[in-house]
Amino acid sequence: MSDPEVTNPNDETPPILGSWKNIYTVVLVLHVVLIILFYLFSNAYA
Amino acid sequence: MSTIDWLVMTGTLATIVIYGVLKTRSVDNVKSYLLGDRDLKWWTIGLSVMATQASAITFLSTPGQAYNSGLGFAQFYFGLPIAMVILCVFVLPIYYRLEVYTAYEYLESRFDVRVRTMTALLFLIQRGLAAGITIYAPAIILSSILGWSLGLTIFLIGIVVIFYTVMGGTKAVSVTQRQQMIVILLGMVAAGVVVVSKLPEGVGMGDALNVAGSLGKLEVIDFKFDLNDRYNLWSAMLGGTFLFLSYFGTDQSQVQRYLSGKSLTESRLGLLFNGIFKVPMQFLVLFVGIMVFVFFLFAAPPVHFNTANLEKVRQSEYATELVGLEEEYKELSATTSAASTALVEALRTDDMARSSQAKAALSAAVANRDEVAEKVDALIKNVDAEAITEDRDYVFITFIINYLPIGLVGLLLAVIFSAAMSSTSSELNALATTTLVDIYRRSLVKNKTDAHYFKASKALTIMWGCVALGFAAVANLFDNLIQAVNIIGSLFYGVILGVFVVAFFFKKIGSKSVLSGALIAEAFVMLTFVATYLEMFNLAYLWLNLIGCVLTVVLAWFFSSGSKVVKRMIGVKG
Repeated sequence: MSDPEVTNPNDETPPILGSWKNIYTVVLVLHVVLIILFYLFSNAYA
Repeated sequence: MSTIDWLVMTGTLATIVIYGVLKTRSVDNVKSYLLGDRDLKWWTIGLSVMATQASAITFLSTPGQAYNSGLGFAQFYFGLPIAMVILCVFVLPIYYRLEVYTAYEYLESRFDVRVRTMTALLFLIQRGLAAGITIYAPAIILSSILGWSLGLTIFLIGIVVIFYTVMGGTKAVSVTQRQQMIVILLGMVAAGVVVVSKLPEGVGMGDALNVAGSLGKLEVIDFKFDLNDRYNLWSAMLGGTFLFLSYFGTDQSQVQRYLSGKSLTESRLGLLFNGIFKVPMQFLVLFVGIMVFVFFLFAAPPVHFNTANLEKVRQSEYATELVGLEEEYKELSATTSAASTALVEALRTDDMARSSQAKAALSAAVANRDEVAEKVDALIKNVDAEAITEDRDYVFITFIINYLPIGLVGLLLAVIFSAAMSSTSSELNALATTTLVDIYRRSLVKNKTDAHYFKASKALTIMWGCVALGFAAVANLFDNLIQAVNIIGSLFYGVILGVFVVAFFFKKIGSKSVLSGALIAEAFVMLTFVATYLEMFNLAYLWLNLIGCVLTVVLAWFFSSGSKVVKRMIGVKG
């Protein structure tokens, strides 16, 4: 028997990009892009 | 400091505090006091989480860190976005489902009250120590600017924070943090613009970057794997991720920020907001430090940035020697300025030989200047053997006081105070909540009325405020404030995270095993730190997070079922 009080919080859909998986991917991709930009910045002024 | 600066600073701070108190007048029960009615939107959570982490130390120490060592410190935050995503996927849904007040409350439902109490105590020890340092940092500035005693300054800052945190609880913390973070961001951008505009005529941002890059100050990424190196890509991605997982996932001062969210979605978006903007924000702060470095290549900096240390020497038998060294430093600064101009001009041409020659000349000039500064450090040590000669925490404030225009000085001081108040208020709020919910109400004084616990919450906030003030009074024992906070955190965070990892991912491991594993792992982390402190071997402190976490998990598994597996293997082989 399932507990009606407990809903699956993962069911909440995000306001943009359709799913949480997409949002997480965007955050991580942006992070990788930022690290690459830092690398290029370091090299440009080395 | 001018009257206008005083008005800007006190006006900004008073407005934020009054706004926070007025917005939280209706708080009259424990749930509202500790969880803030759970009605916050993602931008308030995001700014509040950011403000909790960004203490005054961040804005005093970080530009100084860049001034001395370049942009490499930015790597320290590389694990943060990864940690945010992991927390949003695995941890937030559990906290929301169980409707907990504190992170440690969850551990009782998973293990038992002993594990909950032990983890809450580990948090109280490390956060109680760190709270003192976050008050101490801005106190050293005001005391040096106004000539007040350090003790009085610490007391005044502490009293303001204790006042509005006691009045409005967690909601007062969050709503004031939103305003504080806006002031902080505006102030840092303004400081960045001013420092670039203060460069000599004809020297632009591009020139400044070329000069800083030539002196090796713009190397953000270090790919070299070195356990002894505090900041490289690998220690950041591994050790840093574990540190931030523990900090944001299990440190009540952060957990309380996002548990006040209106929904799981708002809390997740608040954390992901940090995952996207925290690294660029830290880069901005470091970048301002780099610009200050370039500025002081063209303008003569003081021979030592901590004026209190210089004053001690001036009052001693070494005063004449100091005057001589200051004269020498001024002359060398003129040489440095000329060499910097020569390098700017050389870099504008394609003449590699000329650029190399100019770079070598500037490096030599900077080295000569540093040599004189070291002689002054030695004088300071002669006068007071206990004095701390590391002066990077004073670099940015020296620039603010001496070179920013009227009005902006007040705003930047408000930035540093806002940062100190925002992180301290979160800490006091979290310390009081954990003490009340996980220790007092759970184990010491049960089944009392809501009014009783509401009063107890306020009393505990005052008590922790007093403890923080006490530690602030002895915080000058640490040579670098930002590292002191992170080192204290690293001593405990790994083990706390290990307990939570077992709770989330190893469902068959019970309380006795995790408790034994955590205690042994904590002892091992402490011994490792002592061994590195005594220079028996070298290990960067970020690795302590990884060691504490992994050891806790492995030992808990061993005590739970691993010992049987090992015995069986030995039996089979025998």
